[in-house]
Amino acid sequence: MKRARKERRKPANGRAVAGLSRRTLLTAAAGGAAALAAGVFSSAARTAGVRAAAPTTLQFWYVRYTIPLLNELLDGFGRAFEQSHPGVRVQVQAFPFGEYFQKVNVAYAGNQAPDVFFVDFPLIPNYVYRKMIVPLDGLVAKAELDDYYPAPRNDMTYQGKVWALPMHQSGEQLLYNVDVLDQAKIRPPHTLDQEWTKEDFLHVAEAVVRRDAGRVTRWAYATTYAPGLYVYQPWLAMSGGEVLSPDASRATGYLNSPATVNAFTFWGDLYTKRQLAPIQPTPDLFGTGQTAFTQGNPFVLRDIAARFSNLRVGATFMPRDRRCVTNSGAYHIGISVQAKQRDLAWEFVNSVAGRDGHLKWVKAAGYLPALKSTYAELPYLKQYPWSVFWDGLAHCAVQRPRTPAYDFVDDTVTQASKDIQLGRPVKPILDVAAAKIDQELARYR
Amino acid sequence: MALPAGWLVRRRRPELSAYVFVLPAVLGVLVFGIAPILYAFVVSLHNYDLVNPHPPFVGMRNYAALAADPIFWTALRNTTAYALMLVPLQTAAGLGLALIVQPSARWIAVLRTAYFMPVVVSYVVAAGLWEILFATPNGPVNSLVALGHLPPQLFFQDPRQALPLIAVMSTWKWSGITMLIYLSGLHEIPLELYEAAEMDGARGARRFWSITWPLLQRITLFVVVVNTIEAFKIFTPVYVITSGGPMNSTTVLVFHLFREAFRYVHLGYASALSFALLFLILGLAAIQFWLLREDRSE
Amino acid sequence: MTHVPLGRGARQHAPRLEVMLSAGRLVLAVFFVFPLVWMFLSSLRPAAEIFQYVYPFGLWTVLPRHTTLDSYRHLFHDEPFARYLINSFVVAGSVAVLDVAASSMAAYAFARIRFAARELLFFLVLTVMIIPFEAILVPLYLIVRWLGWVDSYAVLIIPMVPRALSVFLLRQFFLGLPKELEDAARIDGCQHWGIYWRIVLPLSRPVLLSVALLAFQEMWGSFTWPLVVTNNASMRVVQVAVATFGQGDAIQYDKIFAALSLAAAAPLILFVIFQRYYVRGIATAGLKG
Repeated sequence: MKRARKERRKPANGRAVAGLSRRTLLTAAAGGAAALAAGVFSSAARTAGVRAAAPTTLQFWYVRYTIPLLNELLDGFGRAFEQSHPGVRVQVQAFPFGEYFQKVNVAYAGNQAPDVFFVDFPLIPNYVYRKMIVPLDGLVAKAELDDYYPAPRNDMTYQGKVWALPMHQSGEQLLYNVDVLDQAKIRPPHTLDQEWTKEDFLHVAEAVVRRDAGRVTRWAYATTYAPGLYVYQPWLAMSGGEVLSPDASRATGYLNSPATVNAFTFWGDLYTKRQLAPIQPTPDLFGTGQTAFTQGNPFVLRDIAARFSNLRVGATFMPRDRRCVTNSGAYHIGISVQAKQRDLAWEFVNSVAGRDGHLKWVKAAGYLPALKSTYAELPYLKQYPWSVFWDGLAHCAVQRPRTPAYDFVDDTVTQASKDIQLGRPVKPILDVAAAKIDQELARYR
Repeated sequence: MALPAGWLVRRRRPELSAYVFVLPAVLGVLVFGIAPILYAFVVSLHNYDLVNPHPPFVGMRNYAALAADPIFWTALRNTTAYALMLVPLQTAAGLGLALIVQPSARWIAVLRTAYFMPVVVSYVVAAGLWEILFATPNGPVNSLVALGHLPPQLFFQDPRQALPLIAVMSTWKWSGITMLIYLSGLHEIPLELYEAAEMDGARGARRFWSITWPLLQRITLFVVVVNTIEAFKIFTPVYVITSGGPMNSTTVLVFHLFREAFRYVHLGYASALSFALLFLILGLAAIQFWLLREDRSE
Repeated sequence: MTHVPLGRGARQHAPRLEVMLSAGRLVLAVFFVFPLVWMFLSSLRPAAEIFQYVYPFGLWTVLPRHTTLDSYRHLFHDEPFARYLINSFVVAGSVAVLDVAASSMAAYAFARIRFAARELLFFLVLTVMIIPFEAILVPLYLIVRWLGWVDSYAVLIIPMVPRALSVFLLRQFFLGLPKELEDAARIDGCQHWGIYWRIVLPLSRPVLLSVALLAFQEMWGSFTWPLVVTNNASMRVVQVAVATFGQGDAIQYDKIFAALSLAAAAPLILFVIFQRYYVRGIATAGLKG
């Protein structure tokens, strides 16, 4: 490379240039070939090394967190397992959320699925339908199974079998900017028996929104996550709105029922008609004080407190109508049908999501526990603000529809929800979406 | 393919060296291009979900489903509209930029770098950046809009603005490359031609149309063909920013394909879709190549 | 100095036109760089400030009010970001070099030699260019898995060569070279190798550079393929690393913007180094002065 660089300073007449480009090309080509060879051999060497040193390897994949501490904790489960199981090597690998699920799918096609991996709750029916994960009945002890609260117990079970263990529980409530609410002399309720109705919430929202020459300078409410069923389904459920029939076989008559249409209308009005919530705002709206309320889980509460140290954050319940609501669902951890040593895989799952691992994880991550025994060991959960999340989840959890076509249902309803946000007529939009979903669901009957 | 008898003997020498020349490239193309395409064709005849090792054979049913799928037709319409916006925009931008940055002054070299800058950011990232810049109602661009006392715009949330905005974004992202290719082409034009033209009194626009433009035609054709292909393969900004919305206004073919393949795991249907796309673009490319033939016989 | 078509024509027309042209160039430059400058300046802000001053528009919408290098420190301290950069460099550099070699050879044959399967083979190359990558992702993965290449540099490099686009672009250029050059060389006793090596390559320097730069930047930006075929963090490329900051429960924009600024720097530096080959050498222009 050095020689080529010197040559390049020569005046750019034809000859010198010809010599230069060839030599550069050659040198660089040699470099490229060397890199190639190194790559091929290093991969071969690694494979050989693994075979010689550790006869048993366990692959564990999870969805990478943006907070290093949590990734370290999950990597740590692998190291701890290696220590307690000499001769076993745990390869822990993490991938970004957006592509994780695609990567898992492709790995299955190549018969290279991880032995143990994160399964997002709504995808369990799909993985069961496509025979990707093994049932854990008989592996989980009865006593341990009874230790789960009803909601997570319900989530991990599908068609009568247990398929994966929850890492934690997660449910969103309303986070609020304490200073803004103080200014408006409003005290949001901290106990479930005093929670706001949706009309109360509307009044509060009108009181805290700030407008200047027709433009909103401070919003009343914004979501933390991009819109999806997880985010807006509670707003439907509070007024009796549904997405699918209870047996998840059809959407028509449920997604476009009068109750769902009304609930969607109320939710959509927050955006275009009432101008209380922004449609697709810049990130960190709540952290920077540009909205009074946001919808977030305890993990988000911790994250915001850490990143925006000047902000005083409070938590209150999602408003209620016919019922109280909070969304639910969490990452689970399951075993692939392609895992060669299922017993060992189970031992690993148990070391992560069993009592000890669960306690360690939940405490560090700031999520809510799924096991009663873990709750008993975390006294802070009985105190505000954690009690808001805990009480909400214990009494108001809304489960998302359980169908192998979950992604299709979520995408279709979410697209409809965006049109509704923009103030378009609700009923026809939902009619079309319901018909589309029914067509897709027919595949799985 | 029927070949005349004795073709091997007659053309042996040049042919042999030709095959040596194309061997590395053709090997790569066959193993990592054609083989997967053939495999994808086999997949399109099955109901494959990536997991089942023995997917059921369904014959041409995936192709029939494609023809009956209203979203496919919507996607085809959107993609065509996008190509019709992007190709002229991109070509004009690339050529225009190449012409204005051709002088070799130092400050113009800085500009050249400036115009090329968006190229070096990955597409995913560039799309994410535009999503934030055009956030509504309070993103940076809407802040600028407010300076002009205009109401906040919906940008990517507006069915009329979303697709054109994606075309503008792609032009922003890629015209640096088109500029580069045109610069290489301008480099090939002998200076003597301009001198001769100058003696004839041709200047400015007239000289552009009589010398530069005709001599760049081969490159323009390349740019148009490639941009047409790329336009029909538009995916990333839709995936990152709009997910096909609002009101399906940005549902384009490859996004539909990707969603069917990797989110809904209808691999068979997605493969059928990719073949439809393949033949569609091949047809378009064939037309453009036919134009090239005309050009060559001159 | 500017002995080039538009510049000279314009200069001779009117100084006012030249001023307008320069103003236009600058406005365009702002359009092209503003998003990236905003991204870079945001990477210098403390995390809490990034979206603080976006609205209403003011000085602090663009400039950071407080500056910090914390996010960069994090990248190199808590993450092996240097390793990711090196991986990307090895991959993109190797692809660029191998691609220029393989594609220019093939393009030469397609443009300059008559042989039986020419049209068919070129058609195949074109087909590969047309098929969206997402459509062949799964079979391609199965092939490299069968070859045992998962988690290696080989899997990131070899299947990406040649790039059909490069073959196509180079063929277009070689078709345009005057036939007389070749005839002259043939009289000198050159065979195809000699013509390719001594005549065609030297004449095509800018376009070879274009092809190499395009290949480099495209591989530098590639994301889906490295994500699917690598598991080990030691094989992670920069774009995959960037994505891991940008998704999930708590998106950290300060780190994303810092990582993005670093990821954008490498191809940009290459472009700055090589760009002078895209305009006529000063020496040549000087001869005409």
